[in-house]
Amino acid sequence: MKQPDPLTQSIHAYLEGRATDSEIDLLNSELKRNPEALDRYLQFADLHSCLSLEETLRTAETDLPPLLPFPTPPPRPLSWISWLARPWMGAAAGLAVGLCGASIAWAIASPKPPRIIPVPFHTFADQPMGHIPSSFPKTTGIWSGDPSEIVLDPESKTGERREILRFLRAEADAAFPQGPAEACDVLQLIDLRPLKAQALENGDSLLQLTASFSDRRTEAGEPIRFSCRLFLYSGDPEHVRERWPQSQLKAVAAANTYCESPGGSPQTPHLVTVKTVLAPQADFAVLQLVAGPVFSPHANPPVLGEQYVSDVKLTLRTQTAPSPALNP
Amino acid sequence: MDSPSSPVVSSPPPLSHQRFCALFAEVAPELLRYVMTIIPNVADAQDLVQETAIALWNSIDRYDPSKPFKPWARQIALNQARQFLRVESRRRRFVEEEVLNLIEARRIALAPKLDARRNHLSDCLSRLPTEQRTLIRGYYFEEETIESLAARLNRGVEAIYKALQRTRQALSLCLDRKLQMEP
Repeated sequence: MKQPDPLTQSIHAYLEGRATDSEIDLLNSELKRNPEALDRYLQFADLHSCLSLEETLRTAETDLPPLLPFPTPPPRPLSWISWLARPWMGAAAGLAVGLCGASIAWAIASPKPPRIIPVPFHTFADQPMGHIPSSFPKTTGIWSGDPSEIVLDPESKTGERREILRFLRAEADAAFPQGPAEACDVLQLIDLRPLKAQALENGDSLLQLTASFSDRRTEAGEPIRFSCRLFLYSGDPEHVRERWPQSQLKAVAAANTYCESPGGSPQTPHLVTVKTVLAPQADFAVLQLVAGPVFSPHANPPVLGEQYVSDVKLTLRTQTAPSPALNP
Repeated sequence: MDSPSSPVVSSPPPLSHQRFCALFAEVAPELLRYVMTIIPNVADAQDLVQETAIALWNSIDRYDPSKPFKPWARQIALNQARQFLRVESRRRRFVEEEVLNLIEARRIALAPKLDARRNHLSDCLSRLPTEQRTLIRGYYFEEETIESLAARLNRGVEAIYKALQRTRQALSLCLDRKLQMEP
């Protein structure tokens, strides 16, 4: 097959997230002046999205002749799209937790002020200084995960002792050591059972995780994405641990928020908040704090060491359920 | 003031949360595909669709339930995408505003053709040579990185990118051919 022309090549590069400035310039000018270019772009972009969203491939897979011997793929944290696409393919009702979840349910709750209940969990000050245990937490109340350490904040302005967590290195998931090292993940397991009765009798409950990330690189460099994630599960945490991160798909509720930092503003904290409805069947939660690359899944592991997270807070906000008139 | 005989004009009843979720669930896959035509990164597009859901709900009082939900949702998604691109522009200055509008208009016009092409994708995938299917499966389905694919297949990174491009080309040609053969 002959080499694609510059326009097609630019389209591919853009879809792969690696277009150069000149390729983007070419795309912009061609899409403006050339209707054929617009059609070509849309056809490739649509093909790319179909393949990315897996559904077509999943269907096609059943019809395909056997593939080449395929080694167990290095599993990565399953994309959020996989997580969300399934309910769409199944029943629309499944979206209640995903897209129509926390914020929307909250938006139509009654105007009574919420009741905020702190959730017992371990802050960085509750854990010994130094490297945190590796891999997925084996018990509740312990921060563990990829190489990171709890240190005293050298830049604490108040002069007070202040423990913060420093992301050191991206590492593959312990369950799949052959997988790619994409991001530095830190996790804590929270037992929700003691909270549930209290929460549910107060109406809708929203679990909220807040963390303050800081990127203390003095000069701008490769952008870093800081993510806050919450997963709620029912049943035995051991099952989640064994299959992490694939077990993300088994969560009864989940939420993810992130911010990005290019570096160069060491004094600027990035406050990230994530919330999800406390599903009645949830028994425990997994909190996940991540420092990773922006251009996943094709990015190289980020160089870490100057990225920190502090002031992690977990709260439960309860509010009277919406009136029947609003929710027929 | 209305006279006693004039018809009473009442505003449509507000959309319930349940109804909104049902409507949104219906359009969400298309919104995602739509967003991905401008923002090809799956994670970014998915986040944007979530933000769109929230933005839609927050402005639900401006939605007229007597009108179709999809165009309204698409418009809000486009606004979200614009915002995203503005924020991202320093790093990834993709399409200009004018181009975004052109893409939006053309995508609507092209929707029946794109839908029809999608119907043949499964068939076209099954016709790919094994090596190309392996690439598609690794890159898209298993979300393997290019570097990992290159290592596994004992090829260079650039060679894998090129092979992927050729595979998409082949798929696209196959889809066009299938479409031409339709009655």
